[in-house]
Amino acid sequence: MHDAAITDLHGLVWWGLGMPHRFGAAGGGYFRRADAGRGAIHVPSFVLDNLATAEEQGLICLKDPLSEFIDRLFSTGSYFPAPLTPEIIARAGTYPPTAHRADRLLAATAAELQRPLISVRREIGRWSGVQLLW
Amino acid sequence: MEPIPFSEARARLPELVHRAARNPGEIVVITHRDLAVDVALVSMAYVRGMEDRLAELRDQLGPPFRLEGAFSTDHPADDLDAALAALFEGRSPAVAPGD
Repeated sequence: MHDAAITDLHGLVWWGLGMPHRFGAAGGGYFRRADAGRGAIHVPSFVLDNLATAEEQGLICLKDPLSEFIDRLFSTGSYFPAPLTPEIIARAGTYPPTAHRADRLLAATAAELQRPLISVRREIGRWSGVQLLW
Repeated sequence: MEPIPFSEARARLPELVHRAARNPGEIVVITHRDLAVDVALVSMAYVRGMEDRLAELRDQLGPPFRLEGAFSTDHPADDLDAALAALFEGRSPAVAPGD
């Protein structure tokens, strides 16, 4: 079975920018294996929306139009959309309300899919029980 | 083969496992009322064959899409780092467009 992980916005962007040096050994390895067809990365739908916003705001530039990029990314067999489900929302509600809402949704996505989370947001590891990678 | 309810599949698991193992193309579909999707019991030989076939088809299609290098940016990495954090948290980005 291929190994798989969930990514946050930073992971998606740094790898998409071709900056593997921004990662630690673990997180970059997951993206490297996914690009080689030997691993899987799940992209939460709200992270994909953040990516679209980042492009609209001129923070990044996609080499393909957004719709084409999404089609190509999810046609690889290595990258998968992770929809925001009622189960994820319910699980996010069990985490400390003092934690940022986006962090809780990210952690809940990883917990529901039972996969590690590639994220720079180390505080998630303190209250979620999710395995955090970078 | 008709889809099998989870409770029945659990009772017949040894038989179903041997069936899938003996017949690489056999797909045993298992349903569960609490799951939105069905699951399939197949042999690893079948999975590996599908993966090999997929790899062949990908080779025929030309270079595969890679996420690495699919974006570019004009912003310094540290500025972008902060702007992405702001965006993720629903705050205004620290880097203005065109900076």
